[in-house]
Formats: sequence, structure tokens, C-alpha cells
Amino acid sequence: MKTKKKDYSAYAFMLPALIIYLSVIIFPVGYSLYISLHSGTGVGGMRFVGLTNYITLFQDKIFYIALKNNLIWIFLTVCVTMTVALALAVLLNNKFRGRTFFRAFFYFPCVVAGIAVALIWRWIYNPNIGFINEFFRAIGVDFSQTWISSEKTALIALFVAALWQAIGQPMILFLAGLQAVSVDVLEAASIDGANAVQKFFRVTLPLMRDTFIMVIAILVISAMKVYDIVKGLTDGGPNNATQMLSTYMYSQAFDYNNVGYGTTIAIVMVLIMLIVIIPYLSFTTKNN
Amino acid sequence: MDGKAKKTAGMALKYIVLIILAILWVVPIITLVFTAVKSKADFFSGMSLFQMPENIAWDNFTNAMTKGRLFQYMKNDLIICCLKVPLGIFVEAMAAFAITRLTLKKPTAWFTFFLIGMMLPMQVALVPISIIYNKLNLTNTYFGLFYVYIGFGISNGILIMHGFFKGIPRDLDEAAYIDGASKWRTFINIIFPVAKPAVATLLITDFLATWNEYLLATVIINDNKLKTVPVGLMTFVGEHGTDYGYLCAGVLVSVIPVMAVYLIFQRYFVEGMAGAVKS
Amino acid sequence: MDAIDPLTEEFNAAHDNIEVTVAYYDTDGIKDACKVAAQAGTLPHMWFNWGGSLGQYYVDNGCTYDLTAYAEENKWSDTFNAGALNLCTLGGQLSGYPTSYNVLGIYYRKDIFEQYGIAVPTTLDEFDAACATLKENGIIPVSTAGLYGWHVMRLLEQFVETYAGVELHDKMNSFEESWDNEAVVKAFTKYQEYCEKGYFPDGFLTADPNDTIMATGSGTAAMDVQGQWYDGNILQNELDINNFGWFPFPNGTGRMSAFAEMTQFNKNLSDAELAACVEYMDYLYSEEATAQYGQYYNLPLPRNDASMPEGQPNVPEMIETSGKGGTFTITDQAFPTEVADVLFAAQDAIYGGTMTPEQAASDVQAAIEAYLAK
Repeated sequence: MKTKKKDYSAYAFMLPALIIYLSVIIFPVGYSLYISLHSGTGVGGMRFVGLTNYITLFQDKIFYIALKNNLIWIFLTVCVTMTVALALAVLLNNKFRGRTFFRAFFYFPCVVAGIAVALIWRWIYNPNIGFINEFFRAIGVDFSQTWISSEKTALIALFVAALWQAIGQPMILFLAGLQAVSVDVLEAASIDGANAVQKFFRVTLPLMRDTFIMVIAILVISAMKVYDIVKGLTDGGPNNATQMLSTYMYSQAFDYNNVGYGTTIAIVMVLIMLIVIIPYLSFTTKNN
Repeated sequence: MDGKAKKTAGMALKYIVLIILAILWVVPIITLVFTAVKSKADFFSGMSLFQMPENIAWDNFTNAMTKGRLFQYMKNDLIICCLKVPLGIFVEAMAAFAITRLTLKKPTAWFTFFLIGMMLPMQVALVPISIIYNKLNLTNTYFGLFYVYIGFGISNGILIMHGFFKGIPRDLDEAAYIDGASKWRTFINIIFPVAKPAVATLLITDFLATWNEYLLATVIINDNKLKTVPVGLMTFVGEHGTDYGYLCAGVLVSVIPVMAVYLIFQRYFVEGMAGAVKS
Repeated sequence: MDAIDPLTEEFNAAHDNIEVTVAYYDTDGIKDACKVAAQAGTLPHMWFNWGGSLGQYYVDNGCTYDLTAYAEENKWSDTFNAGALNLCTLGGQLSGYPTSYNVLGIYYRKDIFEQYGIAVPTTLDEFDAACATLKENGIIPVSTAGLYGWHVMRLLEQFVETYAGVELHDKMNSFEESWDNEAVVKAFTKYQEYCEKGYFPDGFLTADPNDTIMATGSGTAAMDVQGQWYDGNILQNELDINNFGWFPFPNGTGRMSAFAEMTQFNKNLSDAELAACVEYMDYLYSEEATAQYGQYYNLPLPRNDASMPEGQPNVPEMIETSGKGGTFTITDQAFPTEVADVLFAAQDAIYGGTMTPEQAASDVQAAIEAYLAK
């Protein structure tokens, strides 16, 4: 390989994406880094304050509440969302009557506009007219809960609504990933006497390794950034019980006019994700 | 138990699991549908939200279309999606091809670099983008919107393409190169076609993301003639009240193109289709 | 939108030298879009805004045209409602063209009050008693929704007005007096008592304020703190307006809370542009326009000679009462958002039993001090 002349074709292939990416993403990232070192309302002169915003952030109680909520959210997403999505994808992969209907049915929620999702779930959780409590009443159980209004249950209740909505996305990623598992390999395993469960764990899952790496990365990043459903259902309340980094960042930058501080939260979010993703990717790609 | 009985039992189990999940999933959907067909009188009559009204209020749909200008907005959205999605996928596939299959120093570093776009909360990009767009006169243009959409789609596209391209065996490209194909030919004729499930996945998810995108659309487009669907839906949420029937009816209408795209392209998720490639 | 489009077209047709284009947003959308535009330096000639702290941002950052001199020259004080002009005056300058003036009272279901023999309360004790009677009969006394905090605040601020009185409350709102005082503690305690007695709907804390009408509309709740626009809402939802009456909250001072909405103008406008903007606003907010498209406006117009919207019986009474009894600025417009959010979190925490009224009062004051120290 030593004698091979330098091959720049890879850069040529990357060029279009790179140009757009630098202008749309990297420029705002640089701008945000700059703003995060300043204090002010965002209009006119901003005062340079060095790392003050970062220091304040690490002493901010609400920042830690939000960070904790995000970490719980990531944990739940990877454990629950991924498992349910995988189960659905496996069920909906082989041919059977009604497959297209079920595929559409479980994908439907993620198509519905966020504003309507929030509306519906607020009704479902409503202690007076909501479905859950009406259901318990109908079967004669006195189990009225305030679900999203109680600081104890709000985060979990919020997650259930998010699960309902978000399942479609990882489901189709898994469905697409399952296409890489060849029928021949599975048949060979059957001939060797493997049953369905063994085939799934010994053949299908290992072959879907790259899909898993991808799905986990997507789920972790989107869980870190979760915003719409929180904004719509609880707006970070009650009493910050469902405050997330993204909603807190938004409040600081847009509602409180602390543009520098809000941007600092965004930068810290990106840094935390990088700290998680870099070792994850270098580990998973090395072992290939 | 013989093979056939076993198969039937497995089938039954599958249906049971699916039906349980479907019951859990259906409640919010019927709430949406029932509210969309409920007249205001029925809605406030104390009727349960989970009950079908006797008289279906079709005029919720007609009102939603006219009041929220949904036809116009759906047309606009469709134009942007049809431009953005295919072009975005192509650009992303090229980059993913470079990262996974061509000689590149530190491919993982490049890959990570391209993921930052997914990590950045979109809100902080609004001001810098507005500043440049104002200088370049790109506000209120489809090109402007379409350009940032491609930018914000790059990370997700590369992540998904990367995952699938890595699964494609190296032998395929090697064989093509031995046959004298250029890198470009190999990409277009060999790798891209083989990645059909990945392309289908991206088409579906990207179309959805673009169709429902709200934040960038409100900042870049302020000409009412150019606005997109989510902006139209928000008109049903007023300062002092929400038009529940119209909103839900509008949502059901606005969902049609996205579901159509999904139903068309989910056919590529057919068991074993890419199987020949792997072995 | 249904009104503005045809009106703008007519206006453009009648004025060769002026061309107005309008961009529509939803409530949150316009807040974001304007803030981004202010920071990127791309604000339009004029934009809709709220009074108080939301409009203040643009004044503090020198984005708005100071209309004080213009208004004096053109005798706006004769044209516009004094309360509205007052609420649009921020940081010592008249910062916008008033487009609506809103006053809040208690809307109640007349039929429900009649059924249980409840008279319109004139003291806080009577109000308490009315709530107790309703609760005993299985009716939710007050429909409220805490999702964004401000709807619950509408009742809380009336408790504050009751216990603090006119002078102290005004000084507290201008941050001259501390919020960490006995009146505020009493107000939070009253709110806590209402929570404990179940005077609000279960789970109201994360209910959407736009949904409170579902409970009063269907008769599961009897009262709601709303402004005069609520008559229009009741009609739009095809409910029977004759079932809805209103009374000012019996706070002892007779004041109602009020807020204004306005259109702010870009500070870089030339005199000619300013004149054109004002001409357009006059056209859009004229008696003729509102007569034709009444249902799309927050009526009445904030003008001295404004006519009252037809078929909305509570509106003239509310405006008249507020003119006589006076008003105070609604708390979320008196407070910067970061202080208001601390107040809202305290409302949540008191309901959840994790905070005492004393703690809540001192938290609010601490937030005010932190804001002032910025």
C-alpha cells in the first residue's frame, strides 16, 4: 500500500454534504460558542464574560434537575422504546394477513402533529374526563390519579406518551435492518436444529449489529434533545419535575432573554452528547 | 407437537401480542378521530371524549381546509419535500459512501463530526441563520428553506446510511473495481441500489421530518403564500381558545401524504430482499 | 386572518403609494419569530405584541419607535382608552399602537348558581362559601389550568390584591416593595386552602388553559377567571351565552386585573413610513372594520368611542366596571418571565405539598432581586 498515490476521491464524495453542513450547522455552532462567552439580551452589544456562564451553569439547581431527567429519559428510551420497537419490527417482518395494516397502524402516531399529540394525551391523563381514570371507574376500581400533574408520576406519564408517539421511527429502522438478515442463513440454522428463539438470538441479532449501533445512537441523541412532547404536555412542570435541558435552554434564551446563558446550555448539551458518542462509536467501530 | 401445529401456535401467539399492543395503541388514535368528527354541540354536551357522536360533523373537515388554508400549505410542503428529500438522500449517501468505503483518514472522526448537527438544539441556530439569510436575501424563498432542511438532515441521513452501508460486504465493490468500474460507477450502480431498504427508510423518515418541521419554517418563511402545513395547523390554536374539531380534522387531512409515502416505500421492507447481498 | 386579508387588500388598493404585507403566526410562534428577528436585526416595520414585560424587551433593547411625541401631536389621549395607553407605556415611552384592552373578572354559570341558591359573592368570605356549596354539590367551583402557570395566577393575584390592597400591590408590582410579606403569604395560604379543599379540577396543574371552557361549558365547573373576550369564545363554541354571567372578584378594592395588546413600530421608521403604518392600523382597527368582522377581534377596541360588540352582554359591563373601579397590571405582564416562572413553580409546589406559602413568598422575592441584579 505504501506506493499507492494519494486518493482524494473520498473528499470529493463528501464535498457537497460538507459545504452545506459547514454553512448550516458548523457556522451556528461557532456562533453559539462565541455567544456563550457573552452576557446580554441578544440585541446590540453583548458583554464578554469569559466562562462565567459555564461556571454559573454548574451551580444551577435546575440544570441538575434537567440533566437528571434527561438521563432517566435516555435510560427509558434505550430500554423500553428500543425493546418494543424491535419486538414490533420482528412481528411485522414476516408475511401474514394484515401486515400492511399493522405496519401503518403503529407508524401512524409519529405522523400526527405534535400539537395534537399533546392535546390528546392531556385528555387521556385528565383525572376527570380522561380515559385511564374512566376505564378504572368502568371496571369498578377506585384508582383516580393525577398522572401528569403529580411531581412523582409526571415524568413516567410523559414518557408513555412519548413512547406511543415515537415507536414508529425505530420500528422502521429495525424493519429495514432485518432485511439484511438473509433467509438462507436462517434456513441453514433451522436445518442445524435451531428453534425460533435460538435463531433470533444467535443469528438475527448479531447480523443486525450495525443497525443496533445506529438505532442506539439515534435514540440517545433524540432523548437528550427531547423537546416537543415536553413543551406540549407539561411545559417542564409541575415544579420542574419534567424540566429537560432543551426546555430549560429555551426558557433561558427565549423567555428570560439570557441569550448567552441559554446558548451555554446548548453547548453543554452538545458536549455531553459528544462525550457519550465518541467512545461509543470508536468502540463499536473498532470491534468490527 | 409436529411442525405444522408449532407454526400455528407461533402464529396465534404473534396475533395475540399484536392485538394487545394494538389495543394499547388505539385509544389515542380513536380520541383523535372521534374529536375530528364531533360537532361543537356534542363536544360540550358532556359526551365522553372516547365516544363516537351520532351525527358525524363532516363540516369540521371542510372548515379545517378553508380556515387553515390546508390545501395551499400542503401544496407548498409537498414542493419542498419533493425537492429536499431525494436530493438530501443523495448527498448524504455520497458522504456515507466516502466514510464507509473509501480511503479516508480517521473515518470515525469524520462520522462523529457529521453527527454534531443532530446534537445541536435547533433553536440556537435560528439567530445566526437569520443573520446570513437576511444578508443573502434568502428569507421567504423555497431555496432558503430547502437549503437549511438539507443541512439539518445531513447528520441523520449519514448516520442511517452509514449503518446500512457498513453491512454491505466489501466483495461487492472489490468485484466492481476489478471489472474496471470507477468509484462513481460503483456508488451509483452497485452500492446505492443495494441499499434500497436504507433509502426507503430515509425517504420515509425524512419526508415526515420535513413535512412536520415547524421552527425553521416560522423563522425563514413569513410570506403567507409560502407557508407549510404545521403553521396552518397552529391557526386552530388561538390566543384564548382551541378549535378542537377543526384541529383534529386538519391533522387527519395533513397526515395523508406522509402516510401515502410510508405505505409506498414500506414495501421495500420485505423479508430477505437484501438477503442475497449478505451471503 | 379571515379579516386581515380582505382589509389589507382593500387598503392596498386604496393607497397607491403604500403596500402592506402581513405575516401570520400563532401565539408562541410570533414571540419566537420576533425575538429571533430582533437579535438578527431583521424586525419588520411593525409587529404585534403584548404589553408589559413581553413588549418591554423591545423597548429596553431600543428596537421600538417612541410614539410619545407622535401621540401628543395627534391627540391619542382623546382617541384611545387611558388604561390601554398606560399599559402600552413602557420604560417611560409610549411603545405601541394599542389594539386591545382586556379586563378580567369571574365568569360563572348563572344556571348553576341559581340551582344551588348561590348569590353573586361580594366578599372573599362569600366567595369561599359559594365554592363550598358548589363543592358539596359535586360541582367543581373554579375551572383553571396550570400548564403555563398564568391561568392559576389570575386567581392568585386576586388573593394578593385582597390582602395587600391597592397601594402595596402596586408598589410590589413595580418592585418598590418586597414580595416577601404577610399579604403574599396569606394569598399563597388561601390558594393552598383551595387546592386542599379541591376547589380546582383534579390534575389542573398540567391542564391547558384553552381547555378550561370544556368544564364550564359542560357544567362540571361553575367559574373561570376570564377577560371580556370570553363572550366571543362562548359564542364561537356555540354555547348558550345566557347561561354565563360575570362579577368582579370580591377583593375589597374593586380593581380588576388588566392587560393590553399593541402593535409596535420599528425605531428606524421615517416619518412618512410611520404615517403609513399608523394609517394602516387606523384602517385595520376602525369601527367599520370591526362592524364587519367583529368575531375576529378582541373587542371592544381600546378607544374612547368604541362601540360594544353585539350579542355579547358581559362585555360592556366589564369595561364599565373596570373604568369605575380601576385596574392593576396582570402579574405576568408586571413580572419579567423569569420571575413569573418562579411564581408558577411555587404554585405547582404548593399544590404538590412540597413548599410552604412562606417559602413561596421568599422565592418570588429572591427571583426579583436576582433579576434586578442582572
